[in-house]
Amino acid sequence: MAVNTILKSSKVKLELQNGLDENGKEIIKSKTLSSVKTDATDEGIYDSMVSITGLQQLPLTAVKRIDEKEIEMV
Amino acid sequence: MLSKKLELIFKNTMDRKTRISLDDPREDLTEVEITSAMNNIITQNIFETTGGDLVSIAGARIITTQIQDFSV
Repeated sequence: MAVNTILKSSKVKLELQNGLDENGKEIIKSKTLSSVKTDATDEGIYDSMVSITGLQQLPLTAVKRIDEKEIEMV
Repeated sequence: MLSKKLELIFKNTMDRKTRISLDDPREDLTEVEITSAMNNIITQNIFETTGGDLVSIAGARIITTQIQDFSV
């Protein structure tokens, strides 16, 4: 079956380190920013996230891009 | 308990305000740093709003919320 895949939306999830738990494991505080352009480059996203998290107290540990794709029959 | 949020306020193509809200801003933030980060967001241009791209800085502010818990 032939299908088409369309990139419908993009989001970015920031993970910040919010200390350690009693077992010494990192506690992660995450924040998701929606309304990222589907054609945004990974470099652009990463650079923007470093900029804004630089204004916050908690250190940035990961930038995750979430792309939602719709698959439809041709 | 006090909680603080930093609001970065931009104007989009349709001259409408749009904001990005961030938890726990650093205590030692300067206007220069905030301006530089906001200009970088505008340059990278990764966000879309219903009123178009982010095109200029409209302001920035820290909002402090005081929460009082009762032991009930």
